[in-house]
Amino acid sequence: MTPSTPTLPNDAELASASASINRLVIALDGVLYGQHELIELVVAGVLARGHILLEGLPGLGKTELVKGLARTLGLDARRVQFTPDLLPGDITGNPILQEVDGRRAFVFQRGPIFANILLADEINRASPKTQSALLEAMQERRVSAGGETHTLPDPFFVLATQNPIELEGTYPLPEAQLDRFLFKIEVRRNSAEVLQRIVLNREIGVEPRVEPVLAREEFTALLGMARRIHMPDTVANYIARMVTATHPGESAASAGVRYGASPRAALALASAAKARGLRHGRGHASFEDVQAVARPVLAHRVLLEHSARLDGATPAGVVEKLLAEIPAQAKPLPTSLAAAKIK
Amino acid sequence: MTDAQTSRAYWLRAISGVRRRVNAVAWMEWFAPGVFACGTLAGLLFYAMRRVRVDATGWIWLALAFAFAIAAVMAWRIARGAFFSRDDARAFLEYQLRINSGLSAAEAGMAKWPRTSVFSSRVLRWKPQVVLGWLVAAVVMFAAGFWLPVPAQNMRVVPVEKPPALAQTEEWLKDLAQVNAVDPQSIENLESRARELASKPAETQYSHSSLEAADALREQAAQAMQSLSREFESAESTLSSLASARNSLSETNESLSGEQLKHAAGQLDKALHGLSEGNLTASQELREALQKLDASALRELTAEEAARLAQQLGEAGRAVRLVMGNENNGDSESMAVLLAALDGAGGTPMRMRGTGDVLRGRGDAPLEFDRRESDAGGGNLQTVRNDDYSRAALGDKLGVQVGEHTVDPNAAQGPVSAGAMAGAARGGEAVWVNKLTPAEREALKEFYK
Repeated sequence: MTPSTPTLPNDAELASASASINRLVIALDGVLYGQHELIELVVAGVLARGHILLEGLPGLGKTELVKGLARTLGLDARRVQFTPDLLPGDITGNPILQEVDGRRAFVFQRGPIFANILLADEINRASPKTQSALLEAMQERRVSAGGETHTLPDPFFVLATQNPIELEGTYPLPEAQLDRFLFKIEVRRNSAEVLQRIVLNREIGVEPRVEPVLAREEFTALLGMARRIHMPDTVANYIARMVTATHPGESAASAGVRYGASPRAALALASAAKARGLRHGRGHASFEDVQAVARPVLAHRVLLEHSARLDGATPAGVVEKLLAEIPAQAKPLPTSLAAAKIK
Repeated sequence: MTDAQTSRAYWLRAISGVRRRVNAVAWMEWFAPGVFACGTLAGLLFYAMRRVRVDATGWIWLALAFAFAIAAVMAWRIARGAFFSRDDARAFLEYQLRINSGLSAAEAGMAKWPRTSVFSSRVLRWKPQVVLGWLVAAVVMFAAGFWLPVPAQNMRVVPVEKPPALAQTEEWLKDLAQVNAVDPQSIENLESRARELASKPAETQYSHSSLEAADALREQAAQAMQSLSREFESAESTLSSLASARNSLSETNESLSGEQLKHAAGQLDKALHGLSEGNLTASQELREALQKLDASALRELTAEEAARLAQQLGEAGRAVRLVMGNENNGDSESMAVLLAALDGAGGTPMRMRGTGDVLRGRGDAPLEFDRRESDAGGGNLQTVRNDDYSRAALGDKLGVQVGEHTVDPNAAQGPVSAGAMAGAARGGEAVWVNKLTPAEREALKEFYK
């Protein structure tokens, strides 16, 4: 069966969408100071219907950002603080014996996962069993319990955080689960100027006031529009070559890589590039979009050899090299030709 | 034409331009080594042509043109795998111009064509060093085929004049061939030797050995002619005397005595002997005529017959002398005759090795190899002494000393121990430390920092 060609958003729709997304970004800029790039990526990830893993030191505002996002979008958000003794049922929900119509029966009590946005704080503190409970929910957006399948609300996002410096009592996320996160974004500390702004405008224990800037329906329309963004053949080819080049032996940049990115990574790149194209009011994705989202999409999907890590190689470094090595066109330039620098 | 159409046409032209330039350079990168190979080959061919002195210029140019055509086709076949397609050129152009894939989207009908950009023709920068390097090298190799000097032995040999002695000998023999009284076979023998000398390569005509051989041949020819002339004169004189005696005796009705006839026959026999031997001999007819004239035949010989034979012999002698007289064309006597006369008179030989030669310059050099020398000086070895050891080279013998080893037979003390354990080894630690290379240890330290 031939898939139906989605209708391309017209100029007016694109302009309207861009303006809406811009309002969202501005609102989030007011929640989290000095992290505009992070906010742009989070918005792009959400528009691409992806789950996002935020990694950074405590106190950088990760949780605040997620809460702000939920409020600006007018979505139902739940927060779960992951701990080693957290059980899968504590997230997905449990069947509880209740008396219904005069007789006892197990009734499924929904867990906090039944929300539009699930903030999984310090996700790497939960046991692998609990983490794996998220797998089905993240991928298929449904929960199975007691022989019944419960569909999660639409839209559904998992925005997880993890702390990279504490290793005691943590369980690193398995590769399969990492692959299900569209982005893994590193949250960096703020500069002195930004810290001064925070000191002047924030109080401990007082959450910033955030008004919803997008109605749920409006947001859902944006999600649908992001899927209708055109992906040019040349850009799709670029994505395919980029993902292929992450595998050992496929490029010079992949030296020291044990496992490259999966086809899901290519889909993630395409979705994120489309979302970014929509963010900028374009009806198509571009090479620039792919390059802008390549680092958060690919870095956590590239597994390095132990020796390469000892030599100081990082997945982010591998992606940087890939971006420099893989040209936009399918064939490299002849050796005596170079791309001129256009000012 | 609308703005959209103008933009579309502009960008399609720009895409084609990028594609054309990239593909041309890709082809040229493969064609340039081919040009170098063709240029080198042509240079070698032209150089070889100059060496062997064969004019095949037309064929070489034809082969060169053919080789260029082959190289061009081969370069195209190899390079076409790297040729930009239309999509490649478009992707490259839109990425370089940072126009967010606007060309691809527009070509797919998903967006408007972007505004024209003045930079569309400046997205490529050619570094011609590689290609030009090949081409310059090809020109140099090609030009070297014309400019490299050909070794001297391959230069065209300019005909040189024969050595004078050889030329003169040939001239004599040529003139002698006109004289019927001289045996052609004896002339041919000398001529063959002259031809042998003349057939030597031009560059060796004036070598020492060739000049010596030419001189020797001329000397032999001169002596032979002198001897022949003398014997002709001797025979003529005898017969003339016989004819005069006959005439004078006929007036008195007397005849020659047997003693006189025997003496005349002896004189003629001696002359015949001289005319039959040597490098030049009298003709067969003349020798046979003289051979018949023994004492009894002389008795029957009339005065007229004797006078006629004497005249024949005299003309032959004069003819030979005339040939020899061509040597100097003047009043001076022939040098060959002079030499022969001096040698015959027991005078001092004028051709002495090392003292110069009256005919040509100083003659032999004072230094020459002597085949009779038995001591070549092989046993007189000489060495260079080098007291400055800092300047000694590998292989120099610095000194030899004759002596004996002083070995103490009582010096042996039996087995001795070597080494001792200073402390107990800590195996685990040692293994851990030794298993890691310094680079790994450093990396591990960094990892755990």
